[in-house]
Amino acid sequence: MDSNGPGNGQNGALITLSGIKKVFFTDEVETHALSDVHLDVKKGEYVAISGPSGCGKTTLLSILGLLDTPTDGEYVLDGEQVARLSPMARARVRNRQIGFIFQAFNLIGDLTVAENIELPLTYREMAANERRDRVARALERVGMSHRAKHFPAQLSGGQQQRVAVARAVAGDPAILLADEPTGNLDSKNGEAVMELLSELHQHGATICMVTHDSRYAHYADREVSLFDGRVADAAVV
Amino acid sequence: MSSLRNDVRFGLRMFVKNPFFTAMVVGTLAIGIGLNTAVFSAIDAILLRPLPGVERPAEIVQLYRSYSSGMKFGSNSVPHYFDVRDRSTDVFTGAALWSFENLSVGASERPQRVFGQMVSANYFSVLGARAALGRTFLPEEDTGRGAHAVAVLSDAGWHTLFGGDSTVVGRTVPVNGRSVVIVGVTRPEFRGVMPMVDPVLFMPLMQYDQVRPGRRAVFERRGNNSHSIVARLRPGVTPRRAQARLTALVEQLKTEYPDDYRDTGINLVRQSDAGTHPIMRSAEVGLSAVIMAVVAVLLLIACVNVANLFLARARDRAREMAVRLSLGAQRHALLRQLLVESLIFALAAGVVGLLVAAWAISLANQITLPMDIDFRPDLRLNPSVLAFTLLVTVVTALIFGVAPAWQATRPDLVPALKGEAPAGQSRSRMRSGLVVAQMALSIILLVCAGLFLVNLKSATTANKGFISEHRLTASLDPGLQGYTRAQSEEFYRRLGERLRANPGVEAVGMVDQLPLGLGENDRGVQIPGYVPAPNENMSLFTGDAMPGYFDAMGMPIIAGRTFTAQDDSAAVPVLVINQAFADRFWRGQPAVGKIVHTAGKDRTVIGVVPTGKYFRLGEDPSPFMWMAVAQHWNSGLTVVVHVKADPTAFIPTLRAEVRALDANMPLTSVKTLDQHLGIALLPARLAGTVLGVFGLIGLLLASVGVYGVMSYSVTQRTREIGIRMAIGASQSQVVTLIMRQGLTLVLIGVAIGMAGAFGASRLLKSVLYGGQSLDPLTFSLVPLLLVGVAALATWIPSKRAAQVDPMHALRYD
Ligand SMILES: Nc1ncnc2c1ncn2[C@@H]1O[C@H](COP(=O)(O)OP(=O)(O)OP(=O)(O)O)[C@@H](O)[C@H]1O
Ligand SMILES: [Mg+2]
Repeated sequence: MDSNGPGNGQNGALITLSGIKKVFFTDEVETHALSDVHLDVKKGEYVAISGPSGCGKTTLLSILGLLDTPTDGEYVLDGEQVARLSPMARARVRNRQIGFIFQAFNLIGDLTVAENIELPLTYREMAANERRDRVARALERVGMSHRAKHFPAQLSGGQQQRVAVARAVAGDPAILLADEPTGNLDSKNGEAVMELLSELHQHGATICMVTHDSRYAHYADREVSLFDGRVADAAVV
Repeated sequence: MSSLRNDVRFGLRMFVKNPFFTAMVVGTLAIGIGLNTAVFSAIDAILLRPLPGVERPAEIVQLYRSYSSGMKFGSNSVPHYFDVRDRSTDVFTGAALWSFENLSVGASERPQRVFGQMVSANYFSVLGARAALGRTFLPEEDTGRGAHAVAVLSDAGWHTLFGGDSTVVGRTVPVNGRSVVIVGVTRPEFRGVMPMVDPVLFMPLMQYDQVRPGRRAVFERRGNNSHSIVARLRPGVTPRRAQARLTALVEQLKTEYPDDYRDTGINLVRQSDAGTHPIMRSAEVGLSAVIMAVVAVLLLIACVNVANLFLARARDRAREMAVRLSLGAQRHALLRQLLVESLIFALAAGVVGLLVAAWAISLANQITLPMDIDFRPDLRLNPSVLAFTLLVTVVTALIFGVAPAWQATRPDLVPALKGEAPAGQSRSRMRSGLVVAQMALSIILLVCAGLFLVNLKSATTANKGFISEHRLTASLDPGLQGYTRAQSEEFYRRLGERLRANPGVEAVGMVDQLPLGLGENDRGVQIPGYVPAPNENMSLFTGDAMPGYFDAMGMPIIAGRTFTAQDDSAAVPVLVINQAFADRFWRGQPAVGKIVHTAGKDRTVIGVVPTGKYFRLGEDPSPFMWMAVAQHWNSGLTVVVHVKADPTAFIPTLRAEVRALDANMPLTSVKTLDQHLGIALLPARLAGTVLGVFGLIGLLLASVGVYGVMSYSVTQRTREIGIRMAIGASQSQVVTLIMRQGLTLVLIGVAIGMAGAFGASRLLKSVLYGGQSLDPLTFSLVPLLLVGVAALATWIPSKRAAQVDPMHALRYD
């Protein structure tokens, strides 16, 4: 299943988080990063998550992206309970349903632009010619076709982030997760990446984006504010 | 699978990315793989390789005489062979006889003494060896004593004696003074049944009387056991069935020749189990196992080093792995990717390792034994050795690849993706564990090496019962030149006279065989009034000596006298014995005057000398008896000259004196007695040198390992060190901090290694001379040396740590 499945959760939501808790235990200190978070994201929705530093935004996104497991609570993604899957099944869901965009780009320096984009498809064991087509299409979507053979170090920050976006969308994930995608960029490049995300959204992509910057929050349909590990309010923009 | 192709492509990129890293990895592993390959090639040559140039070697078996006293691999006599050959045709397609024989061949102007073989004429057909030139022996050459003055050259003999001349077939050459026609040359790969020793020439058994005139009646005496039998099983006949047939044959022979076959049997051993000789088999297997274990440990140390390098890199690549995982890579896919990378490094190391092995093999092939035989170890990189190398390479890749890959593929995802340095606690624990393991392994190696070196020293200085300094020795055999016994005796008498007349000469003597060569002779004895226990070994070491021999060897006389010219064939037969002989049979009584029945006569003990070493340096005190050459004739003797000055300086004089008596007399094995001792010391010397070199390589690898780990740790801790210095730590405090970290690991490793070394030394006890396995010097010096070297390896990076500029360290993030 490579394309967005039908949003067949409760209320037709693509994502349903209920009662999510995350506690970090370090040196006998418990940090309650998330306490009782409820969140629905509908298919095709663009949600911005904001809040002060340390309120749990990255933690929430990691749980949404199955990079981390909640201490407690339910997570239904596309009709499937995913909160307590095996590592293998989680890797599979990450690979097929989720596209990540990081603040630090996180391209692999020893792979070319095209190879970076191809990577999630390789892990899906997709046929080589189909991979090639998809990489070409993703490159075109972000306007980086002419740089396919370059290595990340040979690109500007904005270009690197566009490649990262291409990598995230190449596999047609159900949802794109972006953690401060503009954090390492100047405002001009930041705007460009935001435009790119909007464009993807207009073509039907579901996006969850963490941002400090209230300017960028306006690109989203809806803004979710986190405060001290709880959803403070949800406003439709 | 195309993603495998991606893994390979990425692996190759990683391989060329950091040339220094790659060189370190490939170099370290290549040493380990190369040494393992070289050692395996030796094992292959000695223990595994089928006989070269022999058809269907699996069908070949060796036949030995066995005795109820426990001796299972005795030689055979010629009459015995004839019976076996003629009466076992239902289980063997053929049985052939062979023995080594010293031959004097006059291919050029002066005759040369060479190592040849007397073989039954069917020898080549039984082995399935064809001629490269001319022919091998014909069936009719197995009948008619003295009627076939022909010889077949080996490929080696063809080249050394005739320079590979293609017209050699049909030429006539003198062999032991009689003309012989060369009828053929064997193929280069064929080297007989003992391939390590290359025969130069093959002569038919029927010529025995011509080659060895006056030798004991080989064709008649069933007890004259000095030949080997090799046979080929008929297709479909199992060794078991053939053995059963031979056992039945012995029963028949027992009724026909009750005296000769009492308490004996025939023992069939497959060629693949016999190897060089079944007697040496267990020693060969044991020594091979020790050396193989040693090089395996070296490879393990190399792997540990490389694993550490990869772990350091894994830490740097944690982010890459986290990204891959976030994109949905399954862990096994990442493991595969990393193992493909390891394999690429290992394969490169395997290729370089083959070069190392080829070099080591060429060194080993140059080893010559201080002996009179053409010893060719003939180590090769043949397909089975190459297969071994490939196997070792793959196993190596797994050993050094798995731990780092396991670590690398489970980074802490979220911090790694944030670009933060991972905590790395467990990773550094694993690296520390590897350093400890490495130290422990090299302690074990070095202690073993030290034990062997101490062993070499005590073997060198052991009391051998004679003095080896200032002695020159050389062998000759007038019998091979056609001399009669009387002529030979006269020749030896005059040679002794001429040599003694030299002002630089103290004493001269002759003996049939020097002690501590590779051979020994033993002979059954009966002592009047002594009743041996059942199965008591009554076959004792023996030799034939001329008057002056004991003097020349510096053997003092404890009681009685030694031989004089009056002890000749007409006089009362006499014996000189050693103290161990006297103690065994006449403890507490004077031995002089006692009677010993041996070699067909009652012989009177006339003198006693101190007990020495005769066969091996490690042997227990053993009885020995000498007969007078004049009373037990032997034409081939070794001359011992005791000179005042440097014995090598006397060589020209010795040669001149022999030439003055007979210009055509070949003089062989000209060497000092010290050089001769090299034979006996060879095992200890080889083991000591090899283990010493391996131990040092191990120490070097382990130090590089410690250095690498500590350097990396310092790099990782730069920021921490900067902070410490910013808040007032002194340079020496920083050095102490890092040194303490490093030396703690080293000391733990040393402690574990010492425990292992004690265990290893117990295993070595049996192979060490005198069983001295807990040498205190070795056990204290080795750890000191190791700690010293390791301290240096830690000190260099800690010095660098103390040079950290706090401002710089804090600014860079
Ligand atoms: N691995 C961890 N171990 C312990 N505590 C953690 C860990 N990760 C996050 N925390 C804590 O959880 C809380 C939430 O952290 P999180 O990274 O989600 O914040 P954030 O909202 O993304 O902040 P920022 O805007 O600064 O990125 C913080 O108090 C943080 O200290
Ligand atoms: Mg954050």
